[in-house]
Order: sequence, then structure tokens, then C-alpha cells
Amino acid sequence: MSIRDEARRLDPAARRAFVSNAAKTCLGVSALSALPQSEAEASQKGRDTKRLPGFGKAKNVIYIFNSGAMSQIDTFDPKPGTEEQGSVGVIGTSVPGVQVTSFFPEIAKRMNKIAVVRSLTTVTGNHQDAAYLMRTNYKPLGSIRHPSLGVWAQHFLGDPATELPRTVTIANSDRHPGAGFMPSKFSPLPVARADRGVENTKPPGYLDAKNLNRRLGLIDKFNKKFIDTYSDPAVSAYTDFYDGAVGLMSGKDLAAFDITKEKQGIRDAYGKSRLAQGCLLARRLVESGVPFVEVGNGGWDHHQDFVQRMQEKGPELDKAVATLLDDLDSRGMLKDTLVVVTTEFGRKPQIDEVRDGRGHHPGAFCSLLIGAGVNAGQVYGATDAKAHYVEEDGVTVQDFNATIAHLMGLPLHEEAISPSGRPFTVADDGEPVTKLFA
Amino acid sequence: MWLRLPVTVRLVCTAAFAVAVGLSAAPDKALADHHGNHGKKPAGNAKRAALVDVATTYRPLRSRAGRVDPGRRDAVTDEAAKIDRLVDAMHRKHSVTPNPDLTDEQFVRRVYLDICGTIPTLEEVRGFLKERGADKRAKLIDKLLNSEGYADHLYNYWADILRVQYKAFNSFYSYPFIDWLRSQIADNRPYDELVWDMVGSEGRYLDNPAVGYRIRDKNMPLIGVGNTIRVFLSTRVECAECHDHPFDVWTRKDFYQLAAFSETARIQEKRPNDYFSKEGFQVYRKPAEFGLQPARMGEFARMNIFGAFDSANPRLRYPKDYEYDDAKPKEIVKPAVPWGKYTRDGKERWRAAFADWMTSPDNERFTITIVNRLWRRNFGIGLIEPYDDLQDGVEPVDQPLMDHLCDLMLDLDYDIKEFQRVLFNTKAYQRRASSSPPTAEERYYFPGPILRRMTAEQVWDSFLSLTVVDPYEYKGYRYRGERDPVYMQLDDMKKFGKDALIARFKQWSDFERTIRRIPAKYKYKGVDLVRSTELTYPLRADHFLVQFGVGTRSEVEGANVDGTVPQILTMFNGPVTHMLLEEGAVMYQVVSRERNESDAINAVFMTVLSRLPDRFEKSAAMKEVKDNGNAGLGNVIWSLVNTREFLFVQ
Repeated sequence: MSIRDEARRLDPAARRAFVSNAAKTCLGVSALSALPQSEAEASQKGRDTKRLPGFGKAKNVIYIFNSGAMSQIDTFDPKPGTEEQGSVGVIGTSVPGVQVTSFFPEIAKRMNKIAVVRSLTTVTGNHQDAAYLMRTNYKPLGSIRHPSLGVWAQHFLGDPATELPRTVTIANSDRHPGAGFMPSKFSPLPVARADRGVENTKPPGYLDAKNLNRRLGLIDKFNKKFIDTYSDPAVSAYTDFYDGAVGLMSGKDLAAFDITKEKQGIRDAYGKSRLAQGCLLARRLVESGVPFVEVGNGGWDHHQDFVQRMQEKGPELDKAVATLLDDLDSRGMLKDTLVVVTTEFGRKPQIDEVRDGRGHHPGAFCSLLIGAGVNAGQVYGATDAKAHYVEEDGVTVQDFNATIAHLMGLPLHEEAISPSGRPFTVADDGEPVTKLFA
Repeated sequence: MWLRLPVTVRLVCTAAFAVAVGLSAAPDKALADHHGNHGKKPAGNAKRAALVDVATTYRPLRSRAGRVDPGRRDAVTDEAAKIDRLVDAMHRKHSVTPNPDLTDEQFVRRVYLDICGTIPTLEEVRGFLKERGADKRAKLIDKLLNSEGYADHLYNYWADILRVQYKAFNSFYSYPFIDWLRSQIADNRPYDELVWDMVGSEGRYLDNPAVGYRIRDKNMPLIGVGNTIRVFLSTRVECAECHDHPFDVWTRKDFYQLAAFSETARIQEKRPNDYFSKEGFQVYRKPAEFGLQPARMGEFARMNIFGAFDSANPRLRYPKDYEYDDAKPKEIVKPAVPWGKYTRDGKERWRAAFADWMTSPDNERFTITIVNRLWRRNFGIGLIEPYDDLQDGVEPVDQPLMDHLCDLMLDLDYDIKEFQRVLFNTKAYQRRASSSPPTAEERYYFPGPILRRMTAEQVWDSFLSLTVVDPYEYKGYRYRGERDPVYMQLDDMKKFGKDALIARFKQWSDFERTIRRIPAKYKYKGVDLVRSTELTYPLRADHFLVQFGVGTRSEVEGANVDGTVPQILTMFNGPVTHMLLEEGAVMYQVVSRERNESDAINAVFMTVLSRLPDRFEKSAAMKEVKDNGNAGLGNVIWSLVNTREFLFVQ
């Protein structure tokens, strides 16, 4: 008899126990939440977190999302001298005792301004599901879509005076959760290519303002019957997008999206990589009043030839993050801008010898936090000798996002009710990692 | 009868349009002026008129095998009635009032979109509305199921699920697989056989492109297994790759036993030097020394060498970190299935046994999955949701209906065209879309289909049919098996010396570059005006189709139908919206054929929305044209394609 049949024969309560038993042996969230919490942390649970340090320090967030799953052992959680490390070199940093791999010399120099979280875990090794969880703190469900962090901020903190969107995603991967169940006007504005900014904002030469207005008026007239018939939010969402488009076409906000307006020296410093251009645009947008910018950075799914792939991706990330950090710092923006470098999950420390690659590994991964309110120059959490399991200070996806949300000044325990009447919080049951706050 | 005519993508003439329709400042230069031209250029206009007459979206399927049997129409009607009785019973049980029936106008638009993936042309709408006879809907359904559009639209659907990229994992060309899949769909190959071939068949890729499915995940075989089980069995086992599934019943051992089947396949049978002559191997190993691009040389070799080659014995081992008591780390995994039974006689290939188990009529999940998928595809929501995660205890909204549909699928031997033929003929399908979406808390009892935004491909292909007289004219390269320049007999490879191999490689390399090159005559302001099926995926991030939600096809079903601001900007200002106003565009011709403003407005509504304007809309449009002449007519057209009604499938 299969396990499935066995489980099926059990009554519901027994089945729950059965499944939960199975879950306890896994490496994901259940195992970690079973770890004893520190007293201080335990007593905070459910309480007002606003008094903790760091609250609201991050007026802006630049969120670099390395999709494809960035390896922990090949980046910021190296294990020199192990078989798992393979041929990848390891270097020291400006923080004594902290090492990174040799792909990151520039980040190493600035490690005193960076906090590395080495004890992240997630519950799935499926890219889509893990990316969704990372952005929303919830598992994807067929029946509802959850909002992403920037959208939560808009919900709690309201709209600023500017017409600019509150969240912009640059070169984002497929299926961004967007506004989730929040109003569609909170939807992130996607920019496909940083070097081109928002495209198609200029009406064709033959269309003057008068005719454009006539057209807009006609759309309203021709839409009326359909909109009156269908009360579907997907339909009404388009009305918001039309408003957004017309707003952008008015032109005054477009300069924020145009990196060619940056000084040549700055553009040269960032360089030509897509990621760096995305970071430059992100900085420019933040400066213009967009509080949350996600920069997508694909190409981390190193199932094959991982050393070669790391030689491309590592230095690209190193340079982009270091330049962004310097740029924000020199403008005095680092004190209220948080830079997050994160991913979906980690990679298997055991090298797949046939393909010279690394498989998916939800059990342990790492991320960087830089800037506003972050207690920099530290490593938080630790994995075992092979970067395989988390050994110290495990951080769930929800905890990690609770930490970011706290820095953004969001109330962690305040519920938002979806249109279908279900309560959700910004980081689900996550608790902020207080040691990461300055 | 349609004719094959040269495509008229003569659209670069913005100036011509400026004079003719859109942009004339003088309001009196209205349609009359335009019609004045008829007398001056009779030949040109006669041709144009002829083009308009054949601007149909329907193209008969070339494959005889894929055509529906007209003799079965009564049987299909009976089958549809049975489903309707079950749907009616479900409505009564839950006190649901069904939505009103579709009007003919709504019906014709929806079936074109659902079957062919594009809106109907003016002629097609008018033709259908004019037709009499109780069976006119059934006839149209049959006709469209016999069209190329059916095959293309269904291919797009599977391409998103199967992550079909032109160049998978950046080093391997999928065109033989793409071509294979398209032909299978065009021939309406039974679904169970189609899946069996992908999952269970073996051989060299160039001889049996179905194994491209296995090669797609060559770098991540375990994840590939997770994808296979998710896509064809609606079961999520991927969590169990690393540990027992936290929320379902699958153990890590279940996962490895399942993966052990697929892992009996090697992608490469021998080492590369076993395929080449000594001299040839030098070329293969050090292409740069012969002035060849190393990456491309590798691609050329892999195309020839790759396949799915099964070994007699299982090869997969439990991982070093295997932590449960039910198996030992690094021990060879004995293949086993997590439910049901598989049979394998001593010599049968393990993957064949696995494919037999997976596609067996006894494997309920296999049937439930395809039934639920096809229902969801045409009604907008599944009888079971989430549709790709059948956890224990999940029940369909209506068990008798689900059971009946599964029986029907089995009776039809997994003929998915015939199955959909039945669905399209139901009253349940031919009802209006629900005016508000189902909520998460309440189960949806199908008073009608739900409202759906068009897929990106539907938006794109619909735009094309408003613009290009024969969007089907352009056909990309189709794989020609042994006649493809990449194809080498394996025995021959051994015989090829240095020069012969280099020559052969160059021949293919040059050829491959031409495959994706779309001739200039199909371009309009840098945009390739070819059907979505013929484009090369993944597309550039700023492509129209990507803006409207086509995914990168790196993840299962990465596409979405969400709105965004850049979509609207593209609709407002991108080249695509203007092209349909250009001289030579279908839309332009529709307008220029009418005798007066009123008729022109009617024709515009019929073309864009497949219906006439109501009184309010008509007077708004008339006023616009009266005030603003031809530019006003351009404004009406532009505004109509920017309505929600255009973008959503009612």
C-alpha cells in the first residue's frame, strides 16, 4: 500500500498529524519554526513592532531579484576548503573574518556597509512558486493573488503627491504578482528595458492633442455598455491603466525614466550591463519619488557549467551593486534607501559532476541588505560546513520580508482584507530579525 | 473559397493614409473624396476590393487526418445534450440561474477566438449572421475545428505549458520538436499517444523529435520529472525532491522512485569522439583552429548526437544527503510509481513502462487533468481549481459532471478535438460570460463561462487580421527530417573528413541563420507582421506579445493576461495600432468600400467588435465623423480597438 493510500485511510485529524509529521522532517519552514525562539523574539510576536529600531528608516527600496536561484556557496556563503566549493576561489572582505567568493571583489571592499543573511530557507524548489512566495509571503493559490511589497507600502502609507507609480519593476521575470488583490491602480509599472525607459509615450506625429482627446472621449463612450455589464475587476483595472498611460503621456514624469539624462561619468561608472542600467534607472526613479523599484536580473539557474556562468553573473552583480552603493552613498541617499539583493532559493552545494552544475536547493540561501536602518558589516545566521542546512538563526522568507517591511515602516500585524473577505498581513506570520536593525 | 494572394503589407505609407483617411485637416475631405479615387484607379481598386472579399481568418487545415467527421454531428449534439443535462442538474441543485444564451454576434466572435485564436473578419461575421438553419452554429464549429487556426491556437497553448523555446537551454534548437508538435496537433493525434511519445519514446532527436521533450530538461532531470507530473497529472511532487512534501502526502522516496524511470534515458549514447572520424573529431574539439565558431559547432554536433537512449538498468541514485530510513544514500533507486501499478516485462524499457502507466485509462489523474484543462480553457475556470494541484480531498464542483466528462474522454479515445467539439456545442458553453467573476469563497457552478481577457497571442493575431489580408501567408521553416541540412546519418559522420565536416557544418550554420529571418515585406516599422505561432520565442522583453503577457517560456505556463500601463501605451502610440489605419490594411479597405459614413461606421463596428453599434454609439460615431471627417473615422476605429470589449472574450 502506498503512503498516499495510507494517508487517505486516515480520518482528517489523523491525516493532518500524518502530514505535519512528514513536514517536521523536511528542511523547510516547519523545521525552522520548530526551533526554539529567543525569549525576546517570542514575546514580540503579535505585538506592536513599531517601537523596534529601524522602523520606517527606509523611505525607498531598490530590490534586486536574481531570478533562476542564486547559489549561496558560490556567492556570499562560501565554504573554502570543501569539496563542495569546487574550483571557486574565496577572498576576505573589509569585515574581518567575513569571506565571499572571488567573483565579488568590489562588494568585499564595501562589506562594512552590507549585512549578509546566510540562513534563509524557503519551502519550494520550483522557481515560479518560490519567486511568488518571496515577493508576497504566501504560497500561490488558484483563488487569490497576493500583493507584492511595494503594493503593501502603497496600501499602508498612501499615495504621495507625485503622479509617478509607487512601484516600478525593471526587466522583471514572468508573472509578477503585481497589485494582487489590492486596487489595480497600485500595479507596478513594468519597464522592459532600462536603457529605453517607458516606451511609446509619444503620440504619432499626425495626432494632435485635440484628436487625442477626441479619441479618449470616444473610448469612454464605446466602453460604457461593456463596463456597465461586467463588474469584473480585470475590466475596471484597464481604466486605471488608461489613466496611468495618459498621465505618463503628459510628459512631465518621463524624465525620471530616462537614464540618458544622467551625466556621462555616472553612466560610464555603472557600465553597460542590463543589471547595472537597471540599477541606475532604479536610483534615478527613487530620486524622483518612486519608493519601490524592483530590478530583475535573470540567468542564475546554473544547472550546467556553473563556474563559467558565475564568471559572467558574479562580476556583473558585483559591479552593479558596488556602483549603486557608492552612488547612493555619495548622494546622501543611502541613509533612507534600502538595497536588497535576493533570489528564489539556493543551489545544491553538491556539484552535479555530470553537468558540472548545481541543482535547486530550497534548504539554504543567502541575501544582502544594504543601507537605510540596516546594521551593516555583519553576517546574520549560518549554514553548516557545506552550506547545506541552516544551523544558526534560521530566517524564513516571511521573516526576511518582515524585516524589510519593518524598515519600510509598515505595520506587520495590521490586516488587510481582500475583496473576498479574507485577512492578510504584509509578511504573513514573519517576524523581523531585530539584530539586522541598526 | 479563399485564394492565395500576395500579402498586402504595403503599410509604410503613412503619408498616403494621411491624405486618404486619417489626417486630412479639412473635414469635407471625407469618404466621398476617397471614393472619388475609385474612378481614377479602377484596376487598383478592383484588386483591393477582391482582397477584401477574401479577407477571411479561416484557412482549411491541410491535414486530412485532423478533420472532424461530418457524419458524427448528430452524435456530437447528443453528447452535448448529455452534458447540458448534468449542468442543468448542477444549477438546480445549487439554485443557480444560468446566464442568457449568446447572441449570434457574440457566438461568432467567441468561437473564432476560442478555436482559431483570432477575431472573425467582417465577411465572416456577415456570412454567419446571414446564414439560416438550426445547425448553423454546429456547422461553424466544425468548420473552424478544421482550420489551421485551430492547430496554431492549440499549439500556442501547449507551447506555454511545455516551455517551448526556439533554442532551449541556450544551446539546442527546438525547431524539429516544434514542428513535430505542430504536426501532431494538426493531425489531431490522440492525446494519450502524443504524451506517450514525449514521455516514453526513445531514439535520436533528429529521427524522433518527440524526445525533444526529454532533452528540454536535460540539465535538470529531476525538475523535469516534477514538471511532467504537474503538467500531465496535475500533481505537485517537486517539493519532495528535497524532503517529504510538507503539505501533501508525497515522500522523498516517492519522488526518487518516480524520477528513476526518466533517468534511465541518456541524452547522449556515446562520447563525441565515437561519432566522428579522427580528423572530424579535431574539428569538433577545436573549431576555432579551423576558423569556426565553437559554440555553433557544439550546437551542430549536439543536434545530431542528442536523443533519448534508454539503458536497461536504472541509474539514478539516492542523493548523498538522503535522510530517511526507507532507503540509503547513494543507493540505486528502483523505479516505482506513487499510485496505481505499472507493468513491465523483463525487457521493456523503463520509460515505456512509465509512459504506459501515466497515460493508461486506469490512471484517473491523467484523464481528469486533460478534461479539466480543456474545460478550463474554454470556460475560463476549471471544474477543479487549482487545476494543476490535485491534492487529496480536492473535489470538482460537480462530481457527476466530471465523471461524465472523463468517461466521454475515454470513449473518444483521447480525441481532444472531438471532445472540444462536444463542449463547443453545449448550451453551457453558448451562454454569456458571467458579469462578475467567481469569488474565492464560493464555488463556481458555471451559469456560463467566465469573462476572459484575450491571451497575448489572441490580441496579436486579431490585430493582424484587422491589418493583413492573408496573415497565414508567411510560414516559417518546417523541419524536413533527413533533408534538413543539419541531418547527418550517424554512419556517415564517421566517414566525414575534416573538409567535408567543415563544409557540412557551414552549410547548416548558414541555413540556420536563415530560418528565423522574416522577409522585409512582412515588416512594418520594424515589427514582423506574422502570426504569433511563427515568431521565435522567447521574444524581446519589449515585444507587443510580451507586453500583453506571453512568457519567456522558461517556466510552466509563464504567460499571464494582466493589464499594464505599457500595454496601453503600445495601443495608443505603438506602430501596431496605426498599421490598421494605413492604406492597404484590411481595416482601411473595409472602410473604403462602403458608400457613406453610416455604412462605414457599421462596417467598422462589425469588423472590430463583430456587432453593429447601438443607437448611442452610432450617434457618437456619426458626430465624430461629421465633425472631423476621415480623421474622425480613424478616431472611431482607433477608439474601438482600445475598448475593453475588444480585449475581453465575452
